[in-house]
Amino acid sequence: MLLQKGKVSKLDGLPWAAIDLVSESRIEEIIVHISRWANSNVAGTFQLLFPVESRDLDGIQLFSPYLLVRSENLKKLTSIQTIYGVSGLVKGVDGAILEIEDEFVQTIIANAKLAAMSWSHKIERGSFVRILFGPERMLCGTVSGISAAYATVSINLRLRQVNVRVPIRALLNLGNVPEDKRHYFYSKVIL
Amino acid sequence: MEDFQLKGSAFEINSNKRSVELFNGNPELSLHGDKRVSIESDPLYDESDAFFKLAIDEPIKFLELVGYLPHLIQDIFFQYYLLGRTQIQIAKLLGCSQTSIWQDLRLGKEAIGAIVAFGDSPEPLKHAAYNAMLAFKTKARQRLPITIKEPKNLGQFELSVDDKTFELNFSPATTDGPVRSDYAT
Repeated sequence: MLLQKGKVSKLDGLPWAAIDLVSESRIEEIIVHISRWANSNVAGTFQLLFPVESRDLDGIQLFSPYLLVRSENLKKLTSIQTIYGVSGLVKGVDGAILEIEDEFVQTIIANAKLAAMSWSHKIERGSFVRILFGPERMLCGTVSGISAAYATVSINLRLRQVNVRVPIRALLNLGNVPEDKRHYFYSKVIL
Repeated sequence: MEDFQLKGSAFEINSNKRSVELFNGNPELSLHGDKRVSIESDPLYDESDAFFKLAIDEPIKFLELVGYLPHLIQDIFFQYYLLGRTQIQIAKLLGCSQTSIWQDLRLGKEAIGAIVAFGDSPEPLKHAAYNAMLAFKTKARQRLPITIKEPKNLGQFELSVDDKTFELNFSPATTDGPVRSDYAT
């Protein structure tokens, strides 16, 4: 995912910096903190790359061990280390912020975009899916209706049925799950 | 004392039980009245790791035991222990408050404890939590189907941080989420 603020064309070709995290656990929470910080403290344009390779109930795999960030002036991002969960920007042996070439990062972005599209590949009416984002995240259900960009997922809780209308890209296709395991709480541990 | 414990709602039964435990543990402190004693903050009552271990190590057993519980509490257990959803997320889906989710988790855990210890028909007088589970009722409106529409930027690759709804794309930061020790990761 690419979180951004301002006119991003101003950043074309500019280098990125790598954010060193204290821990990868609760990484999504840290990203929200960084985004809120940037909204309040970074004047001008800002981009934060969360390079997700895959995501499911057992966690998120990244293309890069670091989050990548840039703005019009990397030096103005040094106070990022005050954010909960962030160690700081990765520095070189000379103590200066390590700059990562934009061309390299654009490759990661392209791979991350392809990965994001692959999760919902071949989803159709009747597909068994998991909702990956939002308040209904991790629940599994069957696609009961589909349009160009949206799907309606029917989730059969023990108590009630829940129909969730959600962008197709927010779904993970679980087509390989056997029919008898297609519960709303499906997880690999109960397979 | 047993009749006192068995009467009332699950919340009342648990509250009374807790009061008796506190008094028996330290009569002077429990009657002093200048400090709240929260069961949520008492580490002696944190059985979260044990249930996570059960869900991961013995999922069939976990499903079997949870199957004894009322449907609403089953839904709470499945979402909390198998899917890692937070109590607030579960509450919104089931049409109740986060507090009642917490209480129902406790009720379910105690009922499962009684079943594990004494079989699936524990002697009624001895197991207030099991009785409370048998008497558990849901509201009719909680069984009605519901439709939810998610924000259109959900799962979008490029998100603007100016739009507050971007935060819905990320796991919520909440202390009410399930406690996952290193064992579970």
